[in-house]
Formats: sequence, structure tokens, C-alpha cells
Amino acid sequence: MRGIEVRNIAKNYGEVQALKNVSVFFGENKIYGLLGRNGAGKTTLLNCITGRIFPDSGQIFVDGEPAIENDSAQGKIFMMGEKNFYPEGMKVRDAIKWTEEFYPDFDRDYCLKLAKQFGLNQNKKIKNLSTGYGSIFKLILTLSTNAPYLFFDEPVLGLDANHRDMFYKALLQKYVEKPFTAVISTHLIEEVSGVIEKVVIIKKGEIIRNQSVEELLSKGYTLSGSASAIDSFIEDKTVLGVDSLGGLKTAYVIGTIDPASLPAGMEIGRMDLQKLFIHLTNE
Amino acid sequence: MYLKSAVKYQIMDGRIAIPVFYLVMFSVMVLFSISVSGLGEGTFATISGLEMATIIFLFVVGLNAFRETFRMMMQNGISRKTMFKGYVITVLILSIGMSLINAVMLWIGKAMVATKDNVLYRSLFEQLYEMRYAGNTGGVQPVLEELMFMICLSGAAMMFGYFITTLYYRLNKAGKIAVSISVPGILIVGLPIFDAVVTGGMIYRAFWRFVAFAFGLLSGPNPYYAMVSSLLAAALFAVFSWMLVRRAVIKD
Repeated sequence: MRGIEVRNIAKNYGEVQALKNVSVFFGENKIYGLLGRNGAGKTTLLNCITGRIFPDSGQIFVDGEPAIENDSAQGKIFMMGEKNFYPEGMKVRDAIKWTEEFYPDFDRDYCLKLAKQFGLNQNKKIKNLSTGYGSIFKLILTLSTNAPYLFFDEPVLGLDANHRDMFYKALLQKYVEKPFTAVISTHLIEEVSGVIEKVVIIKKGEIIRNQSVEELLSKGYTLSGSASAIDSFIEDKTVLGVDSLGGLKTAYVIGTIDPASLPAGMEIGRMDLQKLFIHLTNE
Repeated sequence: MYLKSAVKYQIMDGRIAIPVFYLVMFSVMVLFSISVSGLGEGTFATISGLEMATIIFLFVVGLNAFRETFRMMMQNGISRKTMFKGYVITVLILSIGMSLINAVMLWIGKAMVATKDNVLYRSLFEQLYEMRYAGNTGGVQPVLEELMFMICLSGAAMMFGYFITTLYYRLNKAGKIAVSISVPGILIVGLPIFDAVVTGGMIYRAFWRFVAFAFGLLSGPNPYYAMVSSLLAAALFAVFSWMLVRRAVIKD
């Protein structure tokens, strides 16, 4: 089966268990959201898959091949991380040249087109780019590699709303033209919820959810209506949270409900991924 | 394909430093030949051992060859094994390439002062092994042996530099401090005092006897001793470096 398979990997940093026997499968041509609170183990998991660090135990396979210290397996993955791993004095255009050297399917024309679109100065040294442009530089390289597995660790760090929108559009357009697997690790859940198909939630080094967004969101619903009607209706239900505005209230409820049983004036809606995430990852 | 790219990257890493180095070396040669052009009768001048600068330069190249390259390779999906093999091939290419350039520079340097009887231009190799070629300096053998000697010595210097830098990369902060203080402390202060006070200079003499033996100065002199010693040292540093590289991880 094609995809990235992580089998029972564990990683400790001294006393801290960053990953506890994590098993997860990132299938072919799907967009995943890797969600978790700060320090949950998202970056550690991605770093283990890309061989930047070694897991203490467990195995990782890329399209059935062992991934650790395997050039051909690693050649199918490109990861943009929060940190800059390019040499101090390297310019953007040199990084493009070298990425093309290491990833033979790299699309230079597409890369230059995106660079122009985002206003990325290729003559600048990478270390001199602002946080936002540092992210843009890495995003452009990642999308241009044409590697079958792309990891985005905090891809929109420092990006303004316009650039974030441009990135999501570029990602989807690329995906439609030539599908690939994307794993997006981010804290901006609301923003990314419209892009991802599957969600992997990691909490304290353990995978607690790995399912499609649809499936996950079907576990709950939102109710909107007058505050008094909502309050009395949700009394016996598992409520993740409520938002109030004037006399109106929205409640986020776990479980299923028959819409016909709703009192008049009350509306049912789709569960919010961020609310669900907060509920699932709360202490 | 991956190995070729890893080699290409590591060689290209020196694309600025190497030309600058040779520009400086060539300038020194030209300055020397200009400064000796006006020497009068009875005054002698010697320039020797410029190749030592190449050895030191390659040692420094080795010292700078790991951290940034490792991060770049990890970013681009290249394994530690391929990166290391790439480095060994880079060592071979640079050692051979720079030794050849040195041979040409030596020839140019000698040609520059050829008309001056009171000016001597000698290589490091000639200084060490001139007795071997007494009366027979014109053949191909000295040139070839000097080239092989320089290649082996350059390779050992690059691997030594790489070993030091990988060792420091793997050590934690306390380890770095401990090594930085203890090694020079023992070698520069502790050992000489111990040698002078306790062993009466025996260690010092043994050390220089060992160096002379390793360079074949006690046997002829014979440069093949130096070649074998350098190759052994390079192999040893390569093994130690690989042991350090194979489990190296990205540090933030």
C-alpha cells in the first residue's frame, strides 16, 4: 500500500515522553491536518519521519520501504519546518538551484511563477528574509519539489491574511492538478479546516484521533437560538462550549440529534473543528 | 544520483574559499619573486614549505564541513551515509586537485627565480626528503612521490578537521567545555610539565622519534612511510567521524 506508515514509534527527551508508541498512516493523495497543542509531539513526529532525529523505537515506511537512512524513501518527502536549515550565507536563488539538484522533479517555472506572485526577492539571503517571507520561501520550495509527500510544519507562520489565502489557493490548485499527500501541522485550525480531508490529533505524544474531518465533525453539532431556549435544551447534553451574543446563544454539543425534535426557533448546524479540537485536547 | 548531488554540493561549498586561497598564495609568490629580484651578490633568500598553507587550509575546510552541510542534507532528504560518502569523495577530489595545483605553483615559483643563483625555492617535500634524491632531482619519480605525499597529507588534514567538528557537534555544552579545556591543558601544560619533572624529557623525545618514524625520516628518508601514516590517520579519523555522524541529529 502506498503511503507513509509509522509503526509504534517512541521518542523520549530525558524524562519527557515526546511520542508514546505512535502508529499512524498517511495515505496517498490526501491532505491531512496534524493537530495538537504546543509540545504535543507534532514536530517530533514529522522530524522522526524525515530522519532529522531518530525514534527510540518503532519503524517508519514510505511506500513500503524503510524510511530511516534511506535516500530513495526520503527523496519522496519534502518538509518545510519552522526552523531554517539553509546555510547562513545562502541566497534564495541558490536554495532554488540546490533543491532542483536534490529533487529531480522540481518545477522551476512553477517556482519562479510563485516567487513572483508572492513578491519573493530571489537575490536576498535567506537569513535576511522576514519571518513571513521566510515562510513564503519555504512554502514555494515545498510546493515546487513535486515530491509525493509534503510536510508543512506551521506553514503560515508570520504570513498576513492575503498571503495565507494565496498559499491555501496555491496548495489546492497544485493538489487538483497533480494530487499529492500533504500533512499540515498548524495551530490555525479554523483556517485549515476548509483544506484538510483527514485529521490526526495528537495529545501528549499519543494519537487520539485519526479520521476524516467529516467523520469527526459528525460526532457533534451546533445549536443556535434564543439563550433561554438553548439553555433548557442542552441541560442533559454534553456541551463543549457556548458563545453568547445579546439574547442569542450558540452551543457546541457532542452526540447526534434528530432535527425534527428541535424546538421551534432553534437551528442546527455543523460542528466547529476548533471547538472539537479544544474539547478533545483539554487537560 | 543522491551521492553525485551530495558530492557536488560539498565541493561547491568551497567554490569561493579555494580561489581566494590560491589568489593569496599566488600573490605571496609574486611578491617574493619581486622582493628577491633586487638581491645583490652574497645575499641569500629562501622560500619554502608554502604547501603547508594548503594543509592548514584543508584542515580548516574540514573543520567547517559538517554543521551547515548536515542541515542542508537533512532538509533535502539525503541520508547521513550518503552525505558521509560524499564527504570522503570530496576529500579525495580536493586532495588530488589541490596537490596538482600545488605542483604547478611550485613549478611556476621555481621558474620565477630560476635565473637567480642566490634564491632558493623549495617545497615542504624537498625539505624533508632531499637526501633521498641526492644527485637525482630531475626525474619523474620525485614529482610523483611529492604529489602522492601531498595527496595523502591533505586527505589526513581534511579528515582530522572533520573529526574535530563532528566531535564538537555531538558533544553537549559541558562536553565541549571539558574537551576545549582538558585537551589543550594536557597537551600544552600538563604533559610538558610531567615530562620535564617526572620522565626527564622522555615523552618529548619519544614523540619526535615517533613523528620522524611516521614520516620515514629514520628510514632513508622514505616518503612512503609518511604516505602510509597519513592514509592510516585519515582512515582512523574517517572511522571515528562516521561513528559520530551516523547518529547525529538536527539541533535547533
